[in-house]
Amino acid sequence: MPLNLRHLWICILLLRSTTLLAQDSQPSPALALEAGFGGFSIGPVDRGYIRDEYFSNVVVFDNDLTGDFFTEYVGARVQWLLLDETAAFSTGLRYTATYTTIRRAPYFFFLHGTSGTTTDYLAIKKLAEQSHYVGVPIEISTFFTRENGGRMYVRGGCELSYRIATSFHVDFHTPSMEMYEADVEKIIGKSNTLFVSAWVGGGVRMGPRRNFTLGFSVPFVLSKEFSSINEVRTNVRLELQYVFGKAL
Amino acid sequence: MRPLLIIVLVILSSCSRDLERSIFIKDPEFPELPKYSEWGLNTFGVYIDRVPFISNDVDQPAKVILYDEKLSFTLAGDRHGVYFSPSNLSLNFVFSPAQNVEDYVGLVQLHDTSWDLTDENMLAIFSEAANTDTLKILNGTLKFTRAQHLFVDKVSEEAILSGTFEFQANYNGTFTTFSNGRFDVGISKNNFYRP
Repeated sequence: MPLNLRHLWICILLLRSTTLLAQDSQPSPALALEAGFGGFSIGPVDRGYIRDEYFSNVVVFDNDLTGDFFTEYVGARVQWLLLDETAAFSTGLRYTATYTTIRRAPYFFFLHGTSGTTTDYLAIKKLAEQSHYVGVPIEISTFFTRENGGRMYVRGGCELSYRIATSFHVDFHTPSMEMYEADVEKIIGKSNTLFVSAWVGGGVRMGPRRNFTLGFSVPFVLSKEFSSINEVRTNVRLELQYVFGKAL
Repeated sequence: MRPLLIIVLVILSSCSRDLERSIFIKDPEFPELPKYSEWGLNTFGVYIDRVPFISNDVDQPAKVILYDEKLSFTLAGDRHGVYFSPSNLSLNFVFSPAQNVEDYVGLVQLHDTSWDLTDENMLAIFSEAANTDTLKILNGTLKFTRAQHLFVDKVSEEAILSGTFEFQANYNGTFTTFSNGRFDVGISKNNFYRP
């Protein structure tokens, strides 16, 4: 995978966080709970089983093959304040659920198989894949405003996740074709078990002790084949966080 | 019982109609032509000298007509180019398949066959607007790379004919080259004729 400025920026942030930890001999850990959701822009994975044109989920016309990608997560982290409480480092555990679809009205054609000069298509309205991951996020953040009412901050981080389960659902045009759902799943195959992502973002810390955080991030998927049916590009995640203890 | 039958027929016919949609995926090397495919995307394209002649979303891109033992394979579309406005064109190949063709399913016998367009039993007819000309072929080949009998949801729907063609001919007194020709079309009961 070629390095670019985005990767370099993430490396600098992580390196800086390590330096900060080393400088602060007595970090003050605090537990933080988080929950968030996000959507991704996507394109289909071209594996030769869908008879249609590539699509975009940004501009969609009637009868276009299109799709969705949503993710939601909850997690718990331990957070250390560093460098005279001007920066924070956090890590912990995060559970992520992803939901992705390919759909077309009234349906698209899926290559079920070929034998000699005979070819079988299945008419499918929607193909959905749901995956569940457990991951370890690492993040550093620092604020750039000191207002008492709310503190604006920027952050950067990365996460290594492991897929613990995946399930498919196929919405067939002809209900009697449901008996071939396992075939469809087998043809599509499983996505990559490891998911690596990085993000940059920001937000605002609110409340009397700045315990409550409303944040956003722009994630970049670094691993390949995150989904079996869609190629994931990027979009925005929104996140809520509550820190039990002293926050940044 | 009759309404149920009508609903089933509507569902089956809607499958056919959606299969007839043309899906034009650009060839990365020749973006004015459709990419070669074997999905039954109902597209074709060929350069007539330097001007592309391609399928469109209006005309039936391909028809097969059986006359006695002769099979007529017609591609119809538009000529596009800087100096041309779209015009109705068709290119018709007439030849004798090895075995009798009873219906569109019989077209699978064309799988992996190649036809020498200079053969005396072969005809290539080109029509533009009201002008029709039987081409005097100098050299060239029509190849059916793949022929498939397509089932959708286990119901027979069409035959997919995918292949390539290329030839040089005398057209209206002008030597003309038809190059990089490719087609990927579905032939069903809607565009298969046996007069």
